[in-house]
Amino acid sequence: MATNRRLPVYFLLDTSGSMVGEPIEALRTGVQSLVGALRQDPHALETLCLSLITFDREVSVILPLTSLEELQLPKIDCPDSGPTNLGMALKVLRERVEVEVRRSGESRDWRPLLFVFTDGGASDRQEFGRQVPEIKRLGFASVIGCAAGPKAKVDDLEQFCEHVVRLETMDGRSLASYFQWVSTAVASGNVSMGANPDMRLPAPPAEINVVI
Amino acid sequence: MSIQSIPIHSILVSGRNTLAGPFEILDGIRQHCRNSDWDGSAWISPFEWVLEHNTETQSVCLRYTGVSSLGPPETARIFYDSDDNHDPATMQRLAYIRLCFWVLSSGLASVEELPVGTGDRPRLEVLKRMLAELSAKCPERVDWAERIYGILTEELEEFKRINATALSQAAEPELCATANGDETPCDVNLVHQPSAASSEPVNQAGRVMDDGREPPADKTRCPGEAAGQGDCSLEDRPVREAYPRAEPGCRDDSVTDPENEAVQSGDCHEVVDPADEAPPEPEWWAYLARRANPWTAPRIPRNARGGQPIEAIDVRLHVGLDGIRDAKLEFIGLQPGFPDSAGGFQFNPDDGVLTGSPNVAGGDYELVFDIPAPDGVKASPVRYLIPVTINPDPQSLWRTLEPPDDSRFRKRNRAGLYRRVADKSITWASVRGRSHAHEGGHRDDDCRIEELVDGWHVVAVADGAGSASCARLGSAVAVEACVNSLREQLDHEEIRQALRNAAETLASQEESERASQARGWEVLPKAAFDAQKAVLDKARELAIEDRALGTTLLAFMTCDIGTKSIVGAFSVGDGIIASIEATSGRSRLLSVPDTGEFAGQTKFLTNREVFLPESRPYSRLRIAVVDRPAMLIGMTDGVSDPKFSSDESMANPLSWRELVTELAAPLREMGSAADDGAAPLQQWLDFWAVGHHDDRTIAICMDQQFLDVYGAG
Repeated sequence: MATNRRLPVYFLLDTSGSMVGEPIEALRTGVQSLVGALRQDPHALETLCLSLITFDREVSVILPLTSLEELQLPKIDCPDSGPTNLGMALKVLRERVEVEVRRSGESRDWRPLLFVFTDGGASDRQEFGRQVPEIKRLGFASVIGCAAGPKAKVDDLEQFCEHVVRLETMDGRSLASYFQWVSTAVASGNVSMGANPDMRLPAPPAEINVVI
Repeated sequence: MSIQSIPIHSILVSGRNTLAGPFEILDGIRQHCRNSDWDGSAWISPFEWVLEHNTETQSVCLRYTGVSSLGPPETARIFYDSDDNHDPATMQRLAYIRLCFWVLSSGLASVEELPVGTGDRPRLEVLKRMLAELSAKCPERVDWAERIYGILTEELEEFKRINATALSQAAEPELCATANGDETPCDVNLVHQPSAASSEPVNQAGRVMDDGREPPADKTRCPGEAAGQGDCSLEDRPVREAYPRAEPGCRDDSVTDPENEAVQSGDCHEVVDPADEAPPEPEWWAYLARRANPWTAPRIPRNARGGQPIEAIDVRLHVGLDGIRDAKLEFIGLQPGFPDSAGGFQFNPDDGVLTGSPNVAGGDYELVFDIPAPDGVKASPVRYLIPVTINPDPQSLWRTLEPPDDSRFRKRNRAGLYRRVADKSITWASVRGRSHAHEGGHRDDDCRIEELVDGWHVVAVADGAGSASCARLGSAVAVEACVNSLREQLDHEEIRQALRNAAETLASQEESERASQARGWEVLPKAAFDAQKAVLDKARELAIEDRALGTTLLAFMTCDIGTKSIVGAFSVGDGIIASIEATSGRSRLLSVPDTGEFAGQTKFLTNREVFLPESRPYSRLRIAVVDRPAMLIGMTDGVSDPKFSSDESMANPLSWRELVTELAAPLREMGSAADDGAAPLQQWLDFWAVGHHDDRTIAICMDQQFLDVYGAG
């Protein structure tokens, strides 16, 4: 019995030092256009909730889980330099999911989605190793990683992502393409949820290579 | 040597350059680039450009550090007077840099094409020409070109006025001529070098005598005077906060202005234009005017929605003008949009409150407000922009698409039936949900009602599975097979008799005596089983998977015996069968919904294990004796989900009263009009419920007097 169920979608975004400059600018634009596109989808407007978590040296929940209608995109900041603490990011993600996603009861949410975007790999190997097994227990309907740029470590993402896509470059066009695809994936997942627990991803555009 | 690289973006936001002018233009350009539909390939990130400030040589240069196709790094090295960054000449030069940046970042010209670097001397004409060319290449940017040009020439007018002599002597303003008239390149240090070796006699103010003549030896006299123009033309110096006058050469002890007795001594920073003896600028205006113009206020905290009234906003409070009563706010409109477009917003200038309902398409907008200069101050208004996000009206987003012409097994999007039989109303309606309409899918629900022998009415409702590719066929086959099976079974005398006996026994017994007695009622589970068989056979026939025809099935049959109705019900899947008694108001659930592990998951008829003995199929059978007048109702979850928020709600008679009250109007309408197609009931099924866009089907078997006795509608 469903009263306006929510579909929570989490984004883990790499804001480490290597993202300074055009990459972070393109990422900002990408997220903005993603939100804009989703706002045009009637299913999404009713059920979608987004959360943005950035990670570099620190992990910041720049946008806690907020409905698409209400959210106002914060500025995605990028320090000048810094490592990529993906492990810590996964830890924070778990904490957030446990608090924010309604896992039982009458108004329980649909299974959440997770998109991870990085241009490197996890700098904090130990923490990363600890967190990876826990991610599966969170019950994501799908975990999709994006390894962007030449230095991105696909292996790290493969450890906990069902699907990994690769972007060869991190210019505006590639990222725009990627976020376009994300919005299609989210929108279609939104529609088919419940009816089909195995989320099938839409076909990716040319700039993106699906690894797994 | 110290080189301080200042990325452009930080120049734009730092407080160092508080001038409203070229710097703000650049920020605007950057914003515009981001928000506009310019092709990304023509846009170069401002991060790749660096404004280098070489403190030793006192030069500023715009250097490209990126690796784009526009070519190798290029420097546009302009020197300036370190003591006076607000020197209008420098302003002009920096404006030129800005223009170059715009040109290059828009890809409209390559680095080589720009007149920068050694040996070249940009002139106003060059600027004009460049702007004209850019406007021609990019006609939609004409307004930008004009704006920049307007501001640049404003600066130039300013520059002209202050250096009236110099410019009047020269045919055109020369940005980089040197003092001694040599046609030296632009990058020669034009700065006044206080050191002794000053072969370039530069005016003590640090400015260059652009006419190339010898500067006046008398440092205390104004250039204007030196040029023989008489008085230091004070009226040509409007008061403008933005340009503090660092003109030590303007010491005017020796100058008397016949009109203005209050001659300032000392520096000229406080020059008052004697021509209009205006009252001093109010402090609040001076403050506002100093900021970037337009100034972007914080975003409206609650996003708006198309077609819905916004929460009233006290704009004065929001932008921080609440303490300044004299500052008048004028609402200009909403941008981007058509000019004069208020976008559905209304602003009351008296109390400063903004209200209204947006009537524009969804997106990110800005509310534009102007604050005009106070009386007596000649200045253009200060503009405020308040970003606001407007979500589209969700109702406007839902499309209605027809299914493709070549789909297998077509089904009408809407269907229904109304009949009056003896003293009963029998009706059903089934409509395609918004979700399917949005994608051009089919209605996957179906329904069948039939009157059989002995006054039995049978009803079958089915909801095709969302994940089933041919769900519409599955539901159609299920309801038809179910009703056919009941008809065929009741053709057999012994079955009919058994059923009749069972019904009569139930009707005559006291409630407390009624044992659950399934004898005779096997017809229902058998009919459901036959429906399953028909669906599975169909799947085999079409060589498709069983689950492609997945569907639920709700079936019930009823007959009247005196003052009672006897009902038998059988269900597989979700949805509801219920009875309501008019006199007592009692409601009873006659179905047991199957819920799966996840929301939206349920059991389907195609699931073979449903009828295996170990699954206890008879537990799905419910038999009830209902006092008349009564209503029997069957519905798919497309109706029950939005109308009943929880299981408790379904058990609550009050929830049912609400539902019946809603249904009363269409039922009465059909009753009087005898509309075969049940159009009013179909229309009722179009009700709007956020988050519930499934196909909707409802079937009702009702005694004629039910509504009146129940007291509904």
